[in-house]
Amino acid sequence: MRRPQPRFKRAVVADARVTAANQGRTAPAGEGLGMLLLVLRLAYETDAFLGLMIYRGEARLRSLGIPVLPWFLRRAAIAIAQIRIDPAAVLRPGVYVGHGQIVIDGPTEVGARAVLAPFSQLGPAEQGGGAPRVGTAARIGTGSSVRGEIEIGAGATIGANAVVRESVPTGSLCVGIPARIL
Amino acid sequence: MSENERAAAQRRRQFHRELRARHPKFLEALIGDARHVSRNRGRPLRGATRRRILAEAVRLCWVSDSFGAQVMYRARARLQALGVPVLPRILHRLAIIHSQVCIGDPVVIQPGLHILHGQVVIDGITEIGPGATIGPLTSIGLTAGVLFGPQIGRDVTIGSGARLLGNVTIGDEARVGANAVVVGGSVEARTTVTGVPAKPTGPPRP
Repeated sequence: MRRPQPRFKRAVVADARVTAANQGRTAPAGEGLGMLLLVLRLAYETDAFLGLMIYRGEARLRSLGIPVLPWFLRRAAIAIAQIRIDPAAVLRPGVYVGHGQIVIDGPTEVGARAVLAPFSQLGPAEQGGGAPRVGTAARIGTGSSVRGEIEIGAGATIGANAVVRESVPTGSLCVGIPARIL
Repeated sequence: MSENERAAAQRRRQFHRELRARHPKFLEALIGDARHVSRNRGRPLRGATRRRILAEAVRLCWVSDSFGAQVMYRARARLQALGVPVLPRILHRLAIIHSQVCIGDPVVIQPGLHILHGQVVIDGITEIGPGATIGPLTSIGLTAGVLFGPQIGRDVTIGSGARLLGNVTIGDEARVGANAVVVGGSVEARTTVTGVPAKPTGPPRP
């Protein structure tokens, strides 16, 4: 299955802005030399930005139908930052992956400005079915498991190690096994 | 840049320099780590010579999943403290590739660390005492909007999948159970905590 993916440059620039904002760095306004320097700096200094950038390349090349190369890029993203993202998944431009170590299966959708903490996993339930849709600026806590055809509302926070199997309303906080809304 | 911003930037640099100065020396850290790991693996090195311990460290790099990454982390922390450019970043990347050991710049770890299999994320202004044993898939670090991570005492055991987030204090010889989530407050010395959120299983051990 081939799904339209965000354009590489647009995605990387948006990712860089969101990463900079989350790490307390200032980002330049335009997309010129200043932005290129920020992207290179983040790729060099942070744990996972390079891996995410490689994933963006992989996703875009795959959606353009280019063979073989995406496979190598996928391997590189896994080796560099343990970012395993299914080709069917769509990450909107501007996602923050702090330290890598994430697994995204199936046709999961992740909104802009979402934060994916390490060891989190998103995807269809073990018995199959649809995949989650993560809203704008949602925060997925470290070690949490978000599975099934559910909706994570915009700005919602999923706590550390939470196991989420049901939809979570906008702006709520949700913790525990199974997750309850606080 | 205004006068205030410049002063703030200088204070920040000064703070990080002082933090880095607290990293243990490379050989001291390596020997402490090798001793602790060997004891955990049932081959205590009591009374061994320095040369014997270093030989053991080389053996551990070969036989254990993550000792190599620990050595890379120790070298990187020390090189960073000495102000060497580029090389620390490469070692950091290699430690991540070797066994997914992601330890942030402001973390200070005393000699005597045992990372069981790798796959560990440690970040924030965090301090880990000597004799720590850290299971796989653990995160020790930050919650949104807090700069300080956990302060961990000596001989603490952290179970696999545990999360220690924000400015929490973990007392000496405490144990954190598998998949436990410690957020806010503190864990008393010689106590075992489990669950989400983590609660003590009983009074402190004698």
